[in-house]
Amino acid sequence: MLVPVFTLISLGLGTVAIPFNQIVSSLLFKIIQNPDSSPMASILLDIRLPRTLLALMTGAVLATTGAILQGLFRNPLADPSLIGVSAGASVGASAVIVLLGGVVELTMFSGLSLVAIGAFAGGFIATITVYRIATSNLGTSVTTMLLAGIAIAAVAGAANSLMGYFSDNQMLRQISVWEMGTLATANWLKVGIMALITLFLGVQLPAYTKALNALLLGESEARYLGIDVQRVKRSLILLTALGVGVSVALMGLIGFVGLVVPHMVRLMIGPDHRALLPASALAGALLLLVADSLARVVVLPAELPTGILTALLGAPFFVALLIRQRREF
Amino acid sequence: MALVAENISLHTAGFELLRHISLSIAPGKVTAVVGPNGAGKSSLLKVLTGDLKPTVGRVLLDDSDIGEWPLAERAKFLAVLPQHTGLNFPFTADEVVALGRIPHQTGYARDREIVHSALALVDASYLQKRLYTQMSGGEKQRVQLARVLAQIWEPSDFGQRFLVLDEPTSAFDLSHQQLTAEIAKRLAASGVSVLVVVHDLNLAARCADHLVILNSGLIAAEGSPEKVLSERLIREVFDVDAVISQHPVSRTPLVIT
Repeated sequence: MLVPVFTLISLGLGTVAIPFNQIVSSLLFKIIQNPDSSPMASILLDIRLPRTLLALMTGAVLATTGAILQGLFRNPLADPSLIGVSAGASVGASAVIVLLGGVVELTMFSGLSLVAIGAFAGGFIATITVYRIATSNLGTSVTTMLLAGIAIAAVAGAANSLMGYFSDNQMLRQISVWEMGTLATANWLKVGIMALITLFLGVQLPAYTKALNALLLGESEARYLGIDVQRVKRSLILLTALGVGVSVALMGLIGFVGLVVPHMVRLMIGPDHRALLPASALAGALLLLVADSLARVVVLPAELPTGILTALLGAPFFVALLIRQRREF
Repeated sequence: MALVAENISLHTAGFELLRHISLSIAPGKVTAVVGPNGAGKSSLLKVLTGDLKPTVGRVLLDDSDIGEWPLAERAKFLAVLPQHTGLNFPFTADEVVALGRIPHQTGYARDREIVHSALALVDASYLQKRLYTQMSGGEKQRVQLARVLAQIWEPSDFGQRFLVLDEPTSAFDLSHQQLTAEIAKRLAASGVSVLVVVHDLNLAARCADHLVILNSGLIAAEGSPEKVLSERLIREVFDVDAVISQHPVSRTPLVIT
């Protein structure tokens, strides 16, 4: 219920504040195909609305994939960085910025940049590598995967530092802004891509909620309950790499949502994935929306990278939950 | 339908964990496996239930290799309780037991009834809404036992049901040990094949129709507890001097050490 309310509020916030009645009327005009050419309507429809939609979908995808990985690894502290997606994406993005930065124009396909493509490729390659390392003919070892993820992240970190060392000031700034993650570059193409991914995950994931519940008992136990554990693991890791890879490629690194949102939701409603996944999606959408709205207004007329705000907002709330939880024991 | 091991051996990393074991798990009977630590009891259970593939030999379930059964079908009539279950997410007892109903499509209402009955059967109704992560070792073990009982609560389309328990009573006090033995016997009486690994020879003697003594990966002896349990065998297998007497009430063998 909070989501639509905050959506409307978020549409109004920004360097140019748009009054509430204007938002409603502009949206209505758009719906009944009566073009309104005022500057406010243009800000609303071309900048604010895609950005808000992108925040909602990205938050939902990051939180849901975080919940999946925590279930899959049976570890409430797992997050997408553990399977190498973020580290790989970061290398991919830096490589494009540093190696191609001086050579070709990075922006193409009406706003979908080469950096995004590099990040997606890097994230996907890293995940597949981690998965391959951990998979033998006995199946995929979750422990090996965690360790391989750490190793890949270390290698990626080194590669990143190396590229940073050899790049000029402007490239360094580009890399660092990318790593902080921002929704400021939202456009309708990105919304379209993200909508496809969100829809795809939304259709696929419900089939895996029971399997994830069974997996919390352990892999043998899940097999005894009739779950094809290897197939489930492979599908879920691929779906996660896809969701996180696309989010990271389009928006950069937005931390914290994938780690903490599912954890908070679990503290509130329990670990049953049939409720946990949709609830995490909603909570993640809400957190990223609020964070992004604040990012636009706290340092007017400039704005902050969204990734900074997600951490600043989420961490205190999470700590408060932990303290309350501790008192109950 | 029967579960039959045909001359199975299991080798891992140069060790022979199981050697030439042939065994048949009979319907309507409690089969107990006993043996010293490292005798291969858990490995035997894992091979018999299809969790590990034997290096040599095969395990047949209803005349076809157990590995060839679709997992989802098999789970409808074969429930296994492993020795340790590392669940560290805060499910309630109700939710844990309900996981046992995953293989079935009996509907929410029926599943709830089964969950409640299974918890009541293992004397854990009072745990229903408690969080698994906050329970004692014995309580956790009872909830897990209820989970596998819920999995094979109703007769399957395949006729036969199998319940396999790996040291189900290791954290139980005396009354819950006896309760578990009673449940195993009652299930067997209703036609379920029960296979259980236990440490306590007297508990095994009280509930088992068929006793299998495992030592160093080999079957040292098998048969009814009265026939199998002898002072000589216990000295050979467990390296302990014991006296075999008779339980004054149940008339089953009583091992006194």
